[in-house]
Amino acid sequence: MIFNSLEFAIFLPLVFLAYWFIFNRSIQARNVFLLVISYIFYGWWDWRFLGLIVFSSVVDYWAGIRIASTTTLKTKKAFLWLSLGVNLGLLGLFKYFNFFMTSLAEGLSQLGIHADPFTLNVILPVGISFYTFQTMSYSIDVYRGQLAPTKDPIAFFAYVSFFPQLVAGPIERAVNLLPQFAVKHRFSYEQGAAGMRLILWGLFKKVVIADNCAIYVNQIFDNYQTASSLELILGAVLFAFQIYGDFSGYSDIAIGTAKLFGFDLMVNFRTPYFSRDIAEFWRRWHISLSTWFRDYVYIPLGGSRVSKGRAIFNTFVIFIVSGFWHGANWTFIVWGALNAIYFLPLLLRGKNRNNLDTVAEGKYLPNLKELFQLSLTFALTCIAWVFFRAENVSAAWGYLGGLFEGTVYLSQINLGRSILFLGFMLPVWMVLEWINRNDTLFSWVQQSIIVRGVYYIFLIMCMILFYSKPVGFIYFQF
Amino acid sequence: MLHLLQAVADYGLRRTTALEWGDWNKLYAGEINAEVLIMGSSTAFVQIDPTIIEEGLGMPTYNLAMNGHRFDFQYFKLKEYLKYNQRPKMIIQVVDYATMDSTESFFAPQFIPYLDKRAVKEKLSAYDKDYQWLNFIPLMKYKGRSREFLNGFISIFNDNGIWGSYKKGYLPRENKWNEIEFTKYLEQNPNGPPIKFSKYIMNDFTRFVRYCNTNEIDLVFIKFPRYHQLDEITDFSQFNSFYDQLSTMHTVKNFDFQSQSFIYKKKYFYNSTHLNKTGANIFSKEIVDLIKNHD
Repeated sequence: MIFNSLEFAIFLPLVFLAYWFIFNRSIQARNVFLLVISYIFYGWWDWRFLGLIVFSSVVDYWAGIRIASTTTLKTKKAFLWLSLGVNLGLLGLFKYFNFFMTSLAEGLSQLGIHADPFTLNVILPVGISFYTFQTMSYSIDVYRGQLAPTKDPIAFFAYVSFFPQLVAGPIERAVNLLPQFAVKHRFSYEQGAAGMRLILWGLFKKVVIADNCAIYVNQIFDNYQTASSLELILGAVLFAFQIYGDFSGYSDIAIGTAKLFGFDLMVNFRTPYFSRDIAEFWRRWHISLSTWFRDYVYIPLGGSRVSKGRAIFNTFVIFIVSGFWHGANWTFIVWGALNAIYFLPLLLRGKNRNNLDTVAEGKYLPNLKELFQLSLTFALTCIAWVFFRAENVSAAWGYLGGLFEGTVYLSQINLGRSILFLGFMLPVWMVLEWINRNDTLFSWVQQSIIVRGVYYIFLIMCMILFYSKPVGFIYFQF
Repeated sequence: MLHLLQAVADYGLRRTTALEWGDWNKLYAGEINAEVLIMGSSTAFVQIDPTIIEEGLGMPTYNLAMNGHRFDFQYFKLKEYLKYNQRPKMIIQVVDYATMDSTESFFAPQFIPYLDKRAVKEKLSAYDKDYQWLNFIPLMKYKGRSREFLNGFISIFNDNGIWGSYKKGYLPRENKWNEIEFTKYLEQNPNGPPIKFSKYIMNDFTRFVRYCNTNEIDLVFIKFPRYHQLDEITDFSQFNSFYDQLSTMHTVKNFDFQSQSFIYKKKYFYNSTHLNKTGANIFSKEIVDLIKNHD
């Protein structure tokens, strides 16, 4: 079941009413209800993979208790490795096995050894990268003594499978989300309204921005060999908007949906394209994943407080692993490595924490220096996105080669048909995003009933008028 | 508020002269009243110039063709036309390989401002049940139609809206023959265009012929002109015999252009089944001559 479907439009109000009017009377009944509907939500896509979530939850629940109850460090470690091994094993089997086998065969063929790779005919279970990371963080936090293991299996299972964020995040830490399953929630109009505002904004970004950009992006990336440089630039820029609209839209809907049930999830995006350098970009893009890697990979490796050589190594590790998390393809690895290359100059000059505030804070517009920094960061990001979107690395190089040829004709885009979206809708959205760079869009909208009315009508109107063939959420495939 | 926005856009589309809306608006306002009507799909829409027919026959002429539509929609348009306009004296019906095929899709935006009309709603509902309620939920009929919505607003101030209007329902194409496309077409259709006959459409067509006979409307069948190479690979025997039999049975004029010299020249076509503007001029004049000589 996806958020922009009719099924979900029926599912959500029914579940909402049943939750508040029937099941919220006791914490236990509410958690059982949330667990059941979360499994229904997930099973709607493919019920056979429910077993994997249950298995991962059982192992981590049990491992958490054993880690905490054991006094010897060796045994604690053994249970932690059991938890990590099971989750990484599931990921390895379902997501990376075929990639490793075919890469191995290709590598051997380079040495003149012919090998038929053994591959598994399995599909990637939706959300596996998200819920396995969520459960691993629980085991690690318990091991580190940062979190007491829960004794309530239902609460734990509901935490792992909580339907708003099950299939594409945010990747919630147990420290934040699990305690919310242990307390009684009271319906708050303000929280519900805030949830609905986020859902509406998320749907707008998905339906209007991402799905419409997808039309151009698919056309240009599928025909990059005949497209002009102008179109290739447009394709890369529109893919940047598509993936942001798609993923941040999903996150907003997830956070908004959770709010409807009285839960607070972490913020996953903070207008990342208004970043002045790549370090700031990564503090604003897919925050739940980048902080996960920071806390569980980068810092344990020593982070930046090590020798220069080691810091460079750590930087490459975290970015390449992060790229590889997205998918079993060399394109994601190159994408990660490219981001590491962008990041290194800042790290080596000690400037990776220069821009901790928001650009043009308290001002309407950025100054010229900021504008240059924003443009440069966005351009670098777009170049990296080409690898992320391309079918393979050689196609990405081909695309980038065409990008710098300097041709300006239009062969893939009908300007007459596109003017309304490219010339009106995208600029309006960018203005709204700019207003929202301090998370101030909603408070700005709330200032008067007229602004609020115009804003809601505008979003609904755009979602109807710019409706296009629904496209699945990109991050579902990860 | 959404209802109000919809009403404004509808108002604009109901007064525009642009594209299909311009045609439908004239039709519903009873402003066409032609003595000669041209009917068909794209093979009439881009190929028969009503001005040439009008000058040649000396009778007011209008091209009522529906681009990309099969006969059931063409017949529907005629029935709507007859409700608001005087009966024509002559109908020139262009028949092509797809005329008798069943309808799988239609160009929905042209009907947006008229979904309150019962006949329109019933016709479209037969293909998509959503049309029964689409007019009642605000803006839903404009779903994915931002340009049409904008055109409605602009048409309030500018009759032509964003786009221009057709010339008496006719849109000539200036395009030139594309050899690469033709080669691709032959590869994809080694036996020529698929000719299909739907019983339901054939019944409609027979009713239409009877209606013309009963009401003394001079009906003329024009078999669509196509680039000669198509006849070498396509079996048109069923196509020809269907219309030949029907014309004999109901004494309908029946013209075939496949022996004319222009069908051998690529310069008159923009693809194998459609003439460009130059070809359309020649074709329209040939039609006038044939009708005149036949009489």
